[in-house]
This record gives sequence, C-alpha cells and structure tokens, in this order.
Amino acid sequence: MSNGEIIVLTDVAQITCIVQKGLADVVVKASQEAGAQGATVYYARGGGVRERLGILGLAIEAEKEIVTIIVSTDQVDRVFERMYSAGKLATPGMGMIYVTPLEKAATYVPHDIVEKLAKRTTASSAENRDDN
Amino acid sequence: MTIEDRKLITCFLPLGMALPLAKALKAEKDIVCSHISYGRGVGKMTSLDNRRLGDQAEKQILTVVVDEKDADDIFSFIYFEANINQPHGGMIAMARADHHVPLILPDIPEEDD
Repeated sequence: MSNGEIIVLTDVAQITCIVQKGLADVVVKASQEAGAQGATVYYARGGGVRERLGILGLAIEAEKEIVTIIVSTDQVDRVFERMYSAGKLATPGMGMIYVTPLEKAATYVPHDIVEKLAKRTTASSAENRDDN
Repeated sequence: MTIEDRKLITCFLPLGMALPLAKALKAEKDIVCSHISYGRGVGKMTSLDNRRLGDQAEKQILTVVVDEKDADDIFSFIYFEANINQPHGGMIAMARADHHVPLILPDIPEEDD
C-alpha cells in the first residue's frame, strides 16, 4: 500500500461488551471462534443494579472488563451472540453488550490482500459489463 | 451548549503513540480536547495463534469528537500521523455522535513543556 492512500473499511460495526473481571479472555476467545480477528480489553468499575443483588451487594464483583471488537456487519450477529453467551450476560448484574454502527474504519491492509481485492473487483466489473 | 452533527473518532494505538498524536492534533488541527485510555490488544499475528487467544500488547485508545465537516480530514490526518498505515499500527474508526458539548478553552498563556 502506498503511503498516500487509505483503504477505508465500510460496513463495519463496533461491539462493546462489559463483563465481570476475569471473563474478558473467555469473551475474546468466543468472539475469535465466531470470526473476529482482534480485540481490545480495558478495565473499569461497574455500579448500579449490583447494590440490589447478593449479600449487601458484596457478592457481585464491581470491577469490570470492557472488550471492544470491530467486525464487519455480516459477522456482527454471530459474534454478538457468542460473546453474549460466553459473558453469561443473561444473568442480572453480569454486564452488558451493545453494537455501535461505524461509518468507516481503517487499518493496515497487507499488500497482497489489496492486490487480491483489486483483481476480484476488476473481474466483477468485467462480468457486469458482459452481462449488460 | 450542545452541538449536533459531530463525529466520534476512536483510535486503537500502540503504547506511546497517543500523547504525541494528541499534541499534533492540538498543534495542527486546533483540537484541544481528546481522551486517552489504556488497554491490552489481542490479535492473531501468526497461524499458530489460532490455537490460543493470540498475541497481546499494551495499547492506548484515543477518542476525539470533531465537527462533521472536518471529520474526513482529521480521520486522514490521524491515520498517517499515528502510522496506522504500518503493520501493527492499530486501527481507527469513525461513528456518528448525536450530541456533543464542546470544550472551549479560556484565554490563558501556553504552558512550557
């Protein structure tokens, strides 16, 4: 890829999953099995419904891990469901997960993949011309 | 004062890249408000990584809200300034922000480094 151009990724979405401390790796593993390539994990402190659960609110861990993953829109549902199950988010107080639609994203795309995509686009355009 | 039609730009960067980028945004694009947090990135670098979670490295996450008309320009600026176009350079994403309260600095003298 030349230094002057950006290969913009469209049709992408960001999945953010807030889980109990220690569960992030499980969630990341599940997302990778569903097709995600990478993730970013950071730490936070959770508050809210936990005060109403457990013994004096102590049984529910306040420390949280936040997993952020960017995936293509056709993978979103599959990855989302796997992360939801792995994080045990059906249980109250375990955390939450949401999807943010992205307008565009960009990262390093290896040269051979760029060439492969360019060839595929050219072939597809030629087929369309022949059809017309 | 709330402003609509803004864009939220989020960058996932290797450790040490965020602060110079924030300074460059201030110097060259006059953006005085950005947010930096820390995390760990997990990614598959080799085929062997399919057997485990993948390589992990410390990351910085820089978040900035910009005006819609400047968003594409700032997106490109960050992409090249932070070397996101290089292998293991991180990732940048842009989303719509419905409402935003801008930070307007008072007229104070610049701090020395």
